[in-house]
Amino acid sequence: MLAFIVRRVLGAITIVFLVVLLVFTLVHAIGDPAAATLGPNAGPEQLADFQRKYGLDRPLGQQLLGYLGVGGCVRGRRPAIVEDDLSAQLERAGLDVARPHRTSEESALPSSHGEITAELTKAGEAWELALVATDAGGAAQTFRASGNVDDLASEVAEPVAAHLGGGAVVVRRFDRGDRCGLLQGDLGESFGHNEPVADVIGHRLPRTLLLGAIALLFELLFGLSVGILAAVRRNTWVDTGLMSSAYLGISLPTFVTGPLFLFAFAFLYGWFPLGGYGVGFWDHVYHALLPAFTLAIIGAATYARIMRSELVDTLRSDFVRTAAAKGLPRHRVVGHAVRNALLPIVTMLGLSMTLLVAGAIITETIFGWPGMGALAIRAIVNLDAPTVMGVVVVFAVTVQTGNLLADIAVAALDPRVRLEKSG
Amino acid sequence: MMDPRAWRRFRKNKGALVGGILVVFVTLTAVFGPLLAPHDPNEQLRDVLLQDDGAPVGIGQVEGHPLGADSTGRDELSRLLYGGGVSMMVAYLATALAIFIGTLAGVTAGYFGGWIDFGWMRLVDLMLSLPFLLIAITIRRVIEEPQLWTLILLLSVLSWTTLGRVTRSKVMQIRELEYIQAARALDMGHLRILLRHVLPNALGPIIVLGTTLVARMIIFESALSFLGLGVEPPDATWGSMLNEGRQQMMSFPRLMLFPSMLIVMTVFGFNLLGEGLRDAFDPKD
Repeated sequence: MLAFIVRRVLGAITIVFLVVLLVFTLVHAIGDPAAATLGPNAGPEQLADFQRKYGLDRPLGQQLLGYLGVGGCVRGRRPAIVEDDLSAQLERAGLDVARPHRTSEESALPSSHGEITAELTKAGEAWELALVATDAGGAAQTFRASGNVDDLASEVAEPVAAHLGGGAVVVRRFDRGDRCGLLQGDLGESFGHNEPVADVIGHRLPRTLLLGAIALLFELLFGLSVGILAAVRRNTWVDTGLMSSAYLGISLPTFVTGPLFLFAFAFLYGWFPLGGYGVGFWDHVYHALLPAFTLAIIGAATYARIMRSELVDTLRSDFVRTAAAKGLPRHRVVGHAVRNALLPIVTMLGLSMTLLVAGAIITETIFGWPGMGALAIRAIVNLDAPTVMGVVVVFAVTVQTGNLLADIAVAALDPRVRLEKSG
Repeated sequence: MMDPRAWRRFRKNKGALVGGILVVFVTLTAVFGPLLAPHDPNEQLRDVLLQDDGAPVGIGQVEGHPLGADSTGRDELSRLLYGGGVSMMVAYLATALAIFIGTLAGVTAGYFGGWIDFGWMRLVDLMLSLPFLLIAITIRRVIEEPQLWTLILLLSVLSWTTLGRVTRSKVMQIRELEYIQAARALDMGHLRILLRHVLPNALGPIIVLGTTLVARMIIFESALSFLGLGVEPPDATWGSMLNEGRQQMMSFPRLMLFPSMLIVMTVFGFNLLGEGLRDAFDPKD
């Protein structure tokens, strides 16, 4: 069993990594995040500046290593902000500031100049700046500041200018000094929002989980009860009616049912809000009911079909006949059979995660639910590269975890699977 | 090739018959729709089809435009007919390509086994665990000039896996049968065995899955168009029309209802037909 779990976990990690690799390449090598972020009116200089600023001008391999946090780090917005602020303040103080990594003009530097390098480190909520200024004579001094990113440059600008004493100064690329990158659990910083991707996702993930949990509840509630009822009353009009509805159910995509429900139950009858998220937990739940129901239709229909066919098979098996022959009441006989028919349902649960994640993208767009799906669409359309990557990582991990748990549950319930797969 | 008993079972299945009729109807509409369409689907007839307050004319209000207009004054019926054509063409071509890839994968993996099988099946495992809609959206977004054939390619590459897996297990059963061994003993080439003996006998599941695949392709294409990442505007598809209609549902709900009904009808038709074919080829009860 342990070997089976280890192998499945390794497989899941490999798949998450391949997904990261694929999407990273798509976004950075084929797409153009700079152009997408700055809009169609940006000139070539602005584009080049943006690319250098965020390290998008480096070779793809280096960018990927930086994103993963292997040997160096993804640079993010904060160092760039402090670097911009400090450069502007030094220029105002009368210094001649050159930033070769932003202009790629190393050769045009004056023969005698000072130099600034700096690293930015996150310490809890605050940021710490460690800056080394070397004057034209070669005397180096370290300056430190900590606090809000927007204030860091102002704190050190005056003493740094005094130390350099005027003339030309070269400002090197400011970098993150702490451990960062995906492998250290750092998702970088969004281009579009002024906050770390982890925070952006942190706000939205619970909302999507709430939506998904209610949807899954609906799926199991409706799916299993319909399936059991149809199996118990098999080949009657109840069975035919329920199964025909289930069959129609799997042909109803969310982008058809969503707008229809919104129109009928929210706009015409006013039973539900016209979208959004609400205030307070129970209001969130109330707002989630209609989108969750939309999301649940296909899953519920699938569960109903599986449950019915499994239960019909099980009800024919010998142990059920024996139980009935021994005079066990009808509902207890069915109870026995249901428990044995649940195995394929557990397998389906893993698949449900994939479907719910895919469904969330469309459902959240329709109902204006501010979760991961809506975030994903907006990030992809704007090519907000760090956010896209963050969303993809979270989705891939969710889907893999769901499949993994389902596989382990099935293996635990059914020794045949375990032996066959690890043999 | 086809078992006459299968055909008899198929004809007796009422659901399959309904599905078949829906499929034929939708396909004919898609093929001949552009010929039947009374107007240019992308032309904005603002003078005729928009009222003084800017609202589009409704059903039957203007002669020659039986379903009225959309909110920019384009003939709704023509857009539905053309849009159906585009949706169905994309779905059929993408399905054909997915069947080709899936069959190639399934037949070679199942027949040759070994590392060919291993390679294909790991690829299937990987593809099945991708967050496919997310990947599809990302690909559509980063492609510089989105064209119809790239959409078709994308849909098929992301959808051949189940068909590949099922074909493989069918071929693995066939491979062990005596007539294949007889063919090998007669020194027949692999290619000839595959084409003459293996493939024809594996066609059942391929046809069944191919039919339901058309339904999935329509959903997939409509979903992408619904999100604004499918067929490029101003060209209509049912998905993009549904999205436009949804944004005006409070003023003109009918703009949302027509494409919804057509999508559901088509998907339902292909699913019913697929189920009927499954029962015909593989009777259990």
